[in-house]
Amino acid sequence: MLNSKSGKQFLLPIIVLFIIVLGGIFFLKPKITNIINNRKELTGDRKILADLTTKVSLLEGLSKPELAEKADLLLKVLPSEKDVARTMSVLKQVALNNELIISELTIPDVGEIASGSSVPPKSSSKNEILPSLAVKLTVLGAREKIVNFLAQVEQTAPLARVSNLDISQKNEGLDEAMIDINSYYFPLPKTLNKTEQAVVSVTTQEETVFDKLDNFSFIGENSRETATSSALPSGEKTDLFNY
Amino acid sequence: MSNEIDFLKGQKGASSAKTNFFRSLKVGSIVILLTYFLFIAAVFSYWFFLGKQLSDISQQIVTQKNKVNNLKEVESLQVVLKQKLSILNKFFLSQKGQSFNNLLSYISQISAQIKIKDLKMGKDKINLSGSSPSIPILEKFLQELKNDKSLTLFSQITLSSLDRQEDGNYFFNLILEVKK
Repeated sequence: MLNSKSGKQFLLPIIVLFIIVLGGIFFLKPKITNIINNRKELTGDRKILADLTTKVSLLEGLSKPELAEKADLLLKVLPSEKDVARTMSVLKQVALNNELIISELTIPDVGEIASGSSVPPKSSSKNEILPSLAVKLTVLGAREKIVNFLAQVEQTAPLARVSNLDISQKNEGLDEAMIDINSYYFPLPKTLNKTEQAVVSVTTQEETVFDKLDNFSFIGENSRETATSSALPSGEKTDLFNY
Repeated sequence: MSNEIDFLKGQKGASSAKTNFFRSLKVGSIVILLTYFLFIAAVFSYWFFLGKQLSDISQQIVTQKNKVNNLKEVESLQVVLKQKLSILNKFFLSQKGQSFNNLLSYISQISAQIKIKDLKMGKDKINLSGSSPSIPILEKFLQELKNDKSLTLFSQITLSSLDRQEDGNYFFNLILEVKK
């Protein structure tokens, strides 16, 4: 009798232990695992939210018309693809402005000019920072005009640099110059960054590029439109080879 | 007066100790159970609180992402601007040495009395062929090439040939190594 009575006394602690063990296995353990995962996720989400908030405030602080104007200027200075027609047009105009006669203008290796050509050529030199269109030009004129021409070519959009020069005297006061010019371009990025990725601000050093572009001339834009509009025939063409 | 003798005194002592033990066990079990339930309630509340926070933050992320999507055009312009400025900055910083027109105008300036027949300019070297009507003029030209300004432009100047021609002119070839 005593034993059964003391046995019953142990029943409550056993039940309590049973409840604790079952509760731990079926409720506490999964919930605690869930809490740990949720905390990790919360930390990650908080960081994403902070980045997005910073990005939004940065983008909202930018002026779209001002950005568009600057981007337009930079695209004229450094086009996103090989603009063969514009390069030739600009060189011809600069030569004309300096009273030089172009006896030869060649672009030896244009490559693709379709949309796929926005990829920089594989053969571009490792020393060159920018891919370029190589132009070979022969001009005739006074030496000082040739010197002016060289200066103006490097200060006229699109960005160009003289890589080689060969001047020989033809007659008194008349020189012939064979000039190799690199006309630079740089493709646009193919895709935008991911939404969560931060916008990288322009540094102060990079802003100084605009100072260097202050002296740049932009010619050929209007004249190209005029030339194009005047060259286009009205009505149907019966002769493919003549306007 | 009657005296009582308790023959069960020892047994009573033993059973009261046992009773106390079981009572403590019973109370302890209840206390442990109540504490356990409180702990479960706390865990559950914290889990619920975290879930709500996650939901709020996810909602805020969606709102911010929508704002970013609405500003996609501004972002594209900024990306283009950054890309172009960055590469142009690198380009301008890499431009070392003198430009062709600076070198050419300097040579033209110091060779006023010299007839330059041929001038080949590369990135590192200039080959100059010309003629001088007399030795003193040629000498003056070569002296000019040794002045301070020339020393800043050229690292080496070599007179590779000098010939007196039939007409009395002196034909020469110069190689100038351009300083980087």
